Amino acid sequence: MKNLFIDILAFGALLSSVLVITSKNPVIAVIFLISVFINAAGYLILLGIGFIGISYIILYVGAIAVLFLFVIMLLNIRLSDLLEAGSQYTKNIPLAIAIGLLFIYEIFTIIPFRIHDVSLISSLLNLITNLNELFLTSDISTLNVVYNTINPILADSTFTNFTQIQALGQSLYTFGAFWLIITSVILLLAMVAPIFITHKSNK
Amino acid sequence: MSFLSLLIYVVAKALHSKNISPVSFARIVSIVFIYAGVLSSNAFFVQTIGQGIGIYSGLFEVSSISLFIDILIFFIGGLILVSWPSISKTQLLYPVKNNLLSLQKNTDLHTVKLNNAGEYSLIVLFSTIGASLLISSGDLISMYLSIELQSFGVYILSSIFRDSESSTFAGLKYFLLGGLSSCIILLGSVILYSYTGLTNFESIYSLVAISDGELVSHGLSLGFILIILGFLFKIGAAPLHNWSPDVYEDTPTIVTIWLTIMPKISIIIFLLELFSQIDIIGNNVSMVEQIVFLDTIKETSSIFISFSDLKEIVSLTNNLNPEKLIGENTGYIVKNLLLISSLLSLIIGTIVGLAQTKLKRLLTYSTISHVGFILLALAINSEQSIDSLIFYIVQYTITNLNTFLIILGFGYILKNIILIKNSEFLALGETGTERDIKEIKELTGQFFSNPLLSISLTICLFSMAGIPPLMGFFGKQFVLYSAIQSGYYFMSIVGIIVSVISASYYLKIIKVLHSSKVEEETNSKKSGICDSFNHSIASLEQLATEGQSQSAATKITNFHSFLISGLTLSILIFILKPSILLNSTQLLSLSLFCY
Amino acid sequence: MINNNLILIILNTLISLIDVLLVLLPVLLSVAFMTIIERKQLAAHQRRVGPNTVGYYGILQPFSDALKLILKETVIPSQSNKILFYLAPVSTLIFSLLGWGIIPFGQGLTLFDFSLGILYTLALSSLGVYGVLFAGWSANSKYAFLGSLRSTAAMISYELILSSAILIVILLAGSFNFTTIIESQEAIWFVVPLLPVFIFYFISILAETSRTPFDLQEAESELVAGFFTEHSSIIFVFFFLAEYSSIVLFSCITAILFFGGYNMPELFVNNTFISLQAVVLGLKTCVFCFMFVWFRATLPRLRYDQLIEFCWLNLLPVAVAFIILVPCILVAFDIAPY
Repeated sequence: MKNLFIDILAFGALLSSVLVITSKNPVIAVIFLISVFINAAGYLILLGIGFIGISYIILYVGAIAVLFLFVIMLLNIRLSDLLEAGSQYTKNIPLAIAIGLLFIYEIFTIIPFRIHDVSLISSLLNLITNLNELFLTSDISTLNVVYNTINPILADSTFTNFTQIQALGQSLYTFGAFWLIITSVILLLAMVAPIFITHKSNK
Repeated sequence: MSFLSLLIYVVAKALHSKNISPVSFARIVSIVFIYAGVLSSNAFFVQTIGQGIGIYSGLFEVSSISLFIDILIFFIGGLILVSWPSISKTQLLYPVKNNLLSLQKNTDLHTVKLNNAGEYSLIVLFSTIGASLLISSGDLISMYLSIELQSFGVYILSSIFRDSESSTFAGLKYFLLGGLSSCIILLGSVILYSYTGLTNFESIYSLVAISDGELVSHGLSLGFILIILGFLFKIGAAPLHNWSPDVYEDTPTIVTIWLTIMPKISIIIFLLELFSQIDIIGNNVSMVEQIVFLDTIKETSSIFISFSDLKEIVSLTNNLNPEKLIGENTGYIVKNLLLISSLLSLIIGTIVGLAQTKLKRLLTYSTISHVGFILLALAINSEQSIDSLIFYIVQYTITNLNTFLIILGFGYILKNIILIKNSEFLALGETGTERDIKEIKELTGQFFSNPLLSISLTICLFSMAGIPPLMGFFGKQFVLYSAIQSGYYFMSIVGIIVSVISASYYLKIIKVLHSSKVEEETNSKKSGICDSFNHSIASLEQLATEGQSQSAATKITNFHSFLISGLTLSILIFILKPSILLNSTQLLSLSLFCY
Repeated sequence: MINNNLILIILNTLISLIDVLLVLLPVLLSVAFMTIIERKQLAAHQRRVGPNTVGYYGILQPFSDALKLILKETVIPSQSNKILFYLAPVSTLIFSLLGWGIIPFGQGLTLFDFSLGILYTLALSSLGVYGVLFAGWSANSKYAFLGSLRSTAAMISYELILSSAILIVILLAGSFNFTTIIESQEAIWFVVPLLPVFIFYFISILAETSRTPFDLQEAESELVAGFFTEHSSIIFVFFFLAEYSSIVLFSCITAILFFGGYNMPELFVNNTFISLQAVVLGLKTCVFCFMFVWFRATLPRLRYDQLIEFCWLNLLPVAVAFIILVPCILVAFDIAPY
């Protein structure tokens, strides 16, 4: 069940990302971008790392996409110009499809892929079996999936129980501290650079 | 390395004060760079550098190569910052008289503003930290963070001169394509992580060395290919080079210097480090040794060791075979990728370069062909070729730096447009590009007006073409020699032919430089640069060519001309004492192979 | 054929639905009564009577308002983007009501005892910005667009301060879970050690919900009605409900974060008849709703550029200073919650 939802969200993210590139109206494109982020956040939450999923929503959807929307709404883009530019790209579609298929073929020969692994498609194909399982069996255990985790209560293998955020903080601030510092330098650059680019030097 | 980053914070906050004039700011930053270079050279005497020390809990690794290139990056960075023009107050009156905009006598002459020098220096500081972190990174995440830091700095640099429309367009183009290549690098590293569960390069090496799974080798090869593709995109190697002529030409020359030199050094050395850490390079010698060792074992102890033990030993040592290390194909795939890219770069760099009339585009295509040579040296995994790689990078940097410095100098001398905007003088012209030399035709007859400068340019171009006894010749010779020694005959023949063809377009510039000015003067007047300044330029050129001996034009700073002459002399005189550079590069490459 | 599985699924769903309705229906009622509270209280501050015709003492006023708005004619601008036009108020209401899912009315008595509850609340307040943005833009009128841009800019600026204030509370409490935060206030309510933080938290809440003194966007004399100029009748009801629901929600969160939630010192918890804890929470929420209206009655409004300048130049350094100060004190005296 959970696999089904994960696959639906993954497909949703991919579909939305394609629609981002191909929609005509830029505001609709940003809406689909928001949908990509929300699908990705849902994917992460279903995977079990709720912290990163919700922080995706707070940061990407709540700040970055709002920024995009601001810029697009203030830019006063005329749709007619966009449509004119868009029609130039449709003649490249066969070439794009060819290159895309080549790329996909390369990756699929290397990464093992069976259609059975995609539970969305396989559940569609096994619809009858799944419905039978749902309605006709009388044991409850298939419905509520319980994930067994290894929890030995031996004294020498119990370190601590970390919540997600603790686990993140534990490694990020000790082992990966320098990564944090570099990221902060990147953020500093990103803050300073727009000021440089847009600063009007008045006397 | 870490010292520099602390200095940054101080300097970054100092920008908030308006009291530091941008010129001194640029100078401070260049002094900072040189100091950092000195500090790095101090670290050479630590005994344990050897193969490499992991610092910051294994996320970064300092080895002798990375230290050496650190020094190179910092010194060159410091020297590039010298190339900002300086204007002394007494000479301002001359060109301004002929300007269409009139000058009032009581204008404050103190406000000579170098547009964007302060911001340029700060961003350059950020980008250099990224570059020096990149070459010492030992982890996938550190690699990505450092390449992003360096690249962001460079994107911002190329769009900082926002009054020139082509410059912002080039900056936007660079940003979008650079973002795409960063995405490809990220995809490659994600595939690597998903196959091995590790992000540390050394851990990946250890994991692969003890496993013999097909899956791991397949995933690794895909990951590596994507990472290397992303990096090739960033240095502008063919066939992913289309952005570089546009970007390098449209940005002002001060920015182009930085763009041509710094990212290439760091990314190529990073690729070198990557290969040596995942051990695609190296261990060629040890394989031979181990086979010899195995033979001796077989002879001496065949009585004691049973046959099955021997089989195990044989299989273990076979697993240490570098090509088998990452799977049967990865070593070959990466090598072939680099060889293809190198071949295409060489060919495209020369053939398309023949058709150029603009100066910077021509130099961009020559850069592409140089990158071809460098990739050739990287693809051949032998001690000699790594030796030649490091030497070629050093020589390429010096020559390119010198060439661009001379072009900048020509720009300052020939085009004396100092605009007055808000009653302050903008030394670089309003858009930053107005003092650039765009066409080759503008350089006509400089031999007679500025003989020393044009002789220096001639020497640099000869060195780039590969004419003995200049440094460039030795670079190319070294690379081709190591190629021939390893058996890459086709590539060597292509390299030689390509050098000859590229020499022709270098000679074109030199011919234009030395041609007589009388016939060309009318031509250059007709090829007017911008309409509104036509009159002033024509009169300026007359002034410049007539009154040249009185140097009514802007002087290049003393340090600038000193630097040009120093670099030119080093190119010339290299042959007399080559041992400093050659010995150091040989030691560095041996350090990769013999530990 | 009915069997265990199916019965379980259906029963589970039904019970969850009833749970949600149990929380939402009183919330909607309270939102409705919030409007009449505001009008009567404003009247009291201004020495007049307020609505007193409809029910006894004016109690049934919100129902007559709702009836009027529903029966009005819905006018939609013809050039507007219809999908976004309808989507914006709906999403605003949804995100305002979603926030009630994790408020604890007793010990662990929530719809979902989320271990990352605070993050969920912050995410919802970030998402609430979109309703405003799309409402203004889709109406295709300059006044609505300007109003929504100003509103959005103010909301996202003050979200930063809000997050900082909440972060400082988390530092003291040690967890993102609402119940844990309330339980860790057993010794002392957080408003006592963190009074300055409470002050700028309250200011940022006033700005988030676009209340006076930050309500230039919808001040009736200025931009007609701000971003919902073009929305009429039932759609306007959604915006109205969403605004007041977020007022009540944020008052509730204030009570939980700073004033001890459902805890009362020396309260005897008797769970057999009525859980007094929920009543305590309700009373504290009422106090803060009162404060919202009190602020509206007494303070003049800020001009828009003063608003933004206040946030970025004055409040943000204070917030950052506290973010640095509080962990330093916690570490120095070794009283960090973990």
